[in-house]
Amino acid sequence: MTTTRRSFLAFLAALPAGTFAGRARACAGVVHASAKVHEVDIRTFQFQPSPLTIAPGDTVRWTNRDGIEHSATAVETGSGGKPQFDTGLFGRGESREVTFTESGHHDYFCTRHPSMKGTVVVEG
Amino acid sequence: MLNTITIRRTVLGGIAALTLAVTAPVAQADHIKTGADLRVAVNLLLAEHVNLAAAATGWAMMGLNKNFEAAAGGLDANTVDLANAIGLVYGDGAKEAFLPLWRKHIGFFVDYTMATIKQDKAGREKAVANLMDYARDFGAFLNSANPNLPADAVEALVKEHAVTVAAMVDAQANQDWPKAYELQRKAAAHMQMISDALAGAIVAQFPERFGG
Repeated sequence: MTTTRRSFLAFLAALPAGTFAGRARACAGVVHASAKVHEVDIRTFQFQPSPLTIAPGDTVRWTNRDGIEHSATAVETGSGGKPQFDTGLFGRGESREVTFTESGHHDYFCTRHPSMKGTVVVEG
Repeated sequence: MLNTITIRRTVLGGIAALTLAVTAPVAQADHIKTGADLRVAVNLLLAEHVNLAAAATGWAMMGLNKNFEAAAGGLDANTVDLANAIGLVYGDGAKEAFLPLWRKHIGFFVDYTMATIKQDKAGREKAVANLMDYARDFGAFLNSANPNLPADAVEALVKEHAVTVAAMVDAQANQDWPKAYELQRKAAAHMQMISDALAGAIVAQFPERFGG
């Protein structure tokens, strides 16, 4: 990874959640050409579907169908103790996206309702 | 005196166990087949919720930990029955989402009770604030499961539940037992407002399933 890219990622990580309305920062890694967007509904305090299997470079779009704010926040933390991704809280009818480029299991939860848990599996 | 207290405790424990033994099978989800079954079961479960919570907080106030733990165990069994009823209607995902949500508000009542015992004003206020916040969550949960249940109406009902039970805990703390039981009965009766609304909304949502 180049110094410029590192600096850019560090800059992105330092931005508050929700800076980019609808798009959270991506996990670092290899991106494949035919990237897709996968939908996850947040309904009745559940992430559906979960687990969700995607390819590297694919994007997950969470849409909140509940009448209360939820987030999709990575359990794993990166440098500085910040979650690897965090959509921030968003309300009914709103969507947030995260692009995953690193293979593996990415567990996440809702910060307001920590019992709400989901998993994105990146394979390939 | 000691023997009298021991016997009294044993008798009260026996009554509590008998109550559970009698009510638990009626409340089980597999008995729910019609709208009437649903309404009876939800009414029973929510009234039982208040009565077991009152037992738990009352024992806690008296410093009788074994009794408290037994009542708390009964309360959690009631929670599982409620979750099973939710699961019966809305599936396992909703059941699993409901369980921690419901247990959360019980935890806030435990916080309120413990803070009251310790005369911790800030702790009591925090527990009440958490309960008010929870009411919004619960309103959103039920509204998401069933649009016939307006979130703000459910929120208001849950807030009233919290306020009434908190007042009952205060009466227990003051050892004003007549008032404590009056408020317990009020809180149990209030649950019917929630359970009737819930059962009615479910029947309206699934008339072919529970319309009988």
